[in-house]
Amino acid sequence: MSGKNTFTSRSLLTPFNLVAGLILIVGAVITVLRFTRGLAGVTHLSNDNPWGLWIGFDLLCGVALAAGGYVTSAAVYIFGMKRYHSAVRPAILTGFLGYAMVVLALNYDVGRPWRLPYPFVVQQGTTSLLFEVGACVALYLTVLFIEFTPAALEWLGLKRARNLVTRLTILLTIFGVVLSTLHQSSLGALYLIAPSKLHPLWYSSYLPVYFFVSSIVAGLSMVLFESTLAHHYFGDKMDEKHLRENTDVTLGFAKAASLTLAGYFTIKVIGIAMDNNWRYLATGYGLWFLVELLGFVALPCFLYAVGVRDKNIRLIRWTAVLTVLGIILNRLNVSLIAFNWRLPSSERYFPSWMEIMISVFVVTIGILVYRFVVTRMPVLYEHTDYPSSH
Amino acid sequence: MSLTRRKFLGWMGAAGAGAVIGKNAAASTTEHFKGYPNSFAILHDITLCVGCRSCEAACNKVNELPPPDRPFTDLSVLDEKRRTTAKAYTVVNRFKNRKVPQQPVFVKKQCNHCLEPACASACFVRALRKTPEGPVVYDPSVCVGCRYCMVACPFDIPAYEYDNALSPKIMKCTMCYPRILKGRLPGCVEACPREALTFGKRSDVLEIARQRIRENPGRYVNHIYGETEMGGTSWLYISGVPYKETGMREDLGVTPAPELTSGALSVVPMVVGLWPVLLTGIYAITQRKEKVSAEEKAAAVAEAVEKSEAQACHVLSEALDKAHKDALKEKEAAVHQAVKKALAEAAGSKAEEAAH
Amino acid sequence: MENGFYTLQEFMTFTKGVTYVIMVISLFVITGFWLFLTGRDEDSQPNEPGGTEHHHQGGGHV
Repeated sequence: MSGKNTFTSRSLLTPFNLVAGLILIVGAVITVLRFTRGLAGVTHLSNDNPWGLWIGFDLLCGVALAAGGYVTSAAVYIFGMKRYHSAVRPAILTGFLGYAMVVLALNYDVGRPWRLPYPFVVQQGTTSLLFEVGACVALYLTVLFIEFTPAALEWLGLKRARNLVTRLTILLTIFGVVLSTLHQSSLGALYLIAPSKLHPLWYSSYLPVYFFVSSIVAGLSMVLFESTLAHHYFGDKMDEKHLRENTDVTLGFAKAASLTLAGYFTIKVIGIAMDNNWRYLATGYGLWFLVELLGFVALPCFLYAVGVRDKNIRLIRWTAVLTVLGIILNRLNVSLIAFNWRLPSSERYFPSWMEIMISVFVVTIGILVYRFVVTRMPVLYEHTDYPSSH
Repeated sequence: MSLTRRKFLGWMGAAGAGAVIGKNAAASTTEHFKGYPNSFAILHDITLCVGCRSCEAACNKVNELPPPDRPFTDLSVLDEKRRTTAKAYTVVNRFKNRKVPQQPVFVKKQCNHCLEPACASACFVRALRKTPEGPVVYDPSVCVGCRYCMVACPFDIPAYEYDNALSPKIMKCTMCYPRILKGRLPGCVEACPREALTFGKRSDVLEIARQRIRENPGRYVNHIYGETEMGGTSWLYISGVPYKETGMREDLGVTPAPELTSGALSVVPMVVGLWPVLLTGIYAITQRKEKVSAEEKAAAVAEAVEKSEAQACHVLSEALDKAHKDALKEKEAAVHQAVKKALAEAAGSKAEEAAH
Repeated sequence: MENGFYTLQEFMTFTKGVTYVIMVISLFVITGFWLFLTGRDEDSQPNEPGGTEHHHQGGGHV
């Protein structure tokens, strides 16, 4: 629990705090179980299903949905869309917390988490895409941390250190985009090694491109989604500039998301054509593939477009939710649902309640840290000492 | 580890290693890596296997695995399909024989020791490697336990100690690497009472397999499983029934596993090399645009200022002019009046004088 | 090793390893090169001593 928060004149015993506290207690108990009984004690993982919810959701979805950080900072600092400036800090914060949550969840999933640095310091498995993902995630987490420090330093009143860091903004942004391009795509490329296990409709040599392009969509939609939530719960923390720019950000990001989704839809169809997988569309998995492609790619693409044309902020916000669900669906399809599709249903994987609880636990920690930070540091507003320059 | 260190030093002195890289890289696009010469392989003649599970028992003993739930003499375990586990590096499965129904087919399953192992390609800490002798071996001292090797393996072989909380290992057949190094046969090969398993140099074993197929027409399917599957394996199979009827996949293709990811891996350095150039370029263009628009703005402001200044000047001069004129007029009027007054006064005084 | 590589896996481990080293070096070199390239730009912001990249975003904000 984040302990005392600055919601003045409010008791600690809010329904939110009670639920969060309960989740943390249950999570702590399962953590103990995980490190005393092993994965067999808490998960439904098996020799046929070595990767479960913690990879499919926490890693794949976590990284994709934390893409808002690089997308927003690139838009503002590199493409010069200054109107969206107030969206940068919240996006970087959620990006950083997202990656931190991914790394936290990985500590549950891998057998010996204290060996996670081994691939870099002991023996380098350079032919593995996981090596690339690991290196990029570790570096990018560092980059996001440095990118976020100005807010913390302003809060702490360390002016000189803060000015030093802001001088690195462009370098960090470029570095962040390079790293994000690499590991977002490499997460898809992880599955290139298993053409015999992943359903042909999802397996494609374009998998890395799909993951990268959809991460842009995920980043844009998450910024929209998070800004809706932040608006609702932390509206009192936002300054006039943030509120004023919010409409601009919403319309601009929705337009970008719609366009990117159109491109994503196109390359997905091209992927079917390249591997001549049309015949699979008439099967059960084909139907499921079409649900994903039409319901969670084509539909949000169209809805975003309508929202932008009509300047319908409400529609855009709901479409952002739909898009985020679509990205989660896609990652779960690749990692769990269409993976091992040949196995008889009795040998298929379904997460245990404890696996789900750990995922919820990790997300809860993220939300609590987010709340701790935005109620204290200049994230949703500008610090009075540093106007218009963060 | 010495090889590792040498390779690592090789990276460090990339320039020095240039000769080595150059030589191999030049050939890499067309070169076909044929695997280690003189590496060993095992031929499993499926037609000879009777499902006695002697190999399973021997494997268990040689590798000091925990005792099985049911003894190896219990053949009822064959009623269900099994896979390799953390406690069993090899399992024998029974399949229906469609040609001769009263003679079921028994197939031994274990790590196939690929020539280009998918597990080794996937491992990010090189815990798995192909040895020059043939076996694919695992080093638990560096393994992180990510289980990507299990995802990668097309034969579903590596198993994991899920119930081990703090030091779980990947468990799989080692082809009895320690025994091979000592010049001994792998446990299962030694134990097989039917000589369904043949150990030898891969090239020799392949020749034996071809010979059996050639000399016994009708007995075998004309295909040696493992000769080309996934780029070839160090376990080879010959069978009397189609392989897919024995639970073996015929759709794996002949592409070696590392090739599946080489495309994606080759894009990585291109992104690192060109993205900064592209992004800095876009940034510079944005900055330039901003500068130009700022300059244009400044110019427009300057012009406006000039214009308004000129206008102001004009107004001012007009006003001055007017003021001047007014002043003159006033002066004139004043003079006029003064003269008038003076004249009147003079006239007045004259009249007064005249009156006196 | 002395006779070259026998497997694609071995070959790729080596070449990708060299590539990773080059990538790390290039990131530093390119940053330095950019400073050299723009060092005498008349209109560029004066680089702070020890500054890493060219004129930072402050340029657009003043």
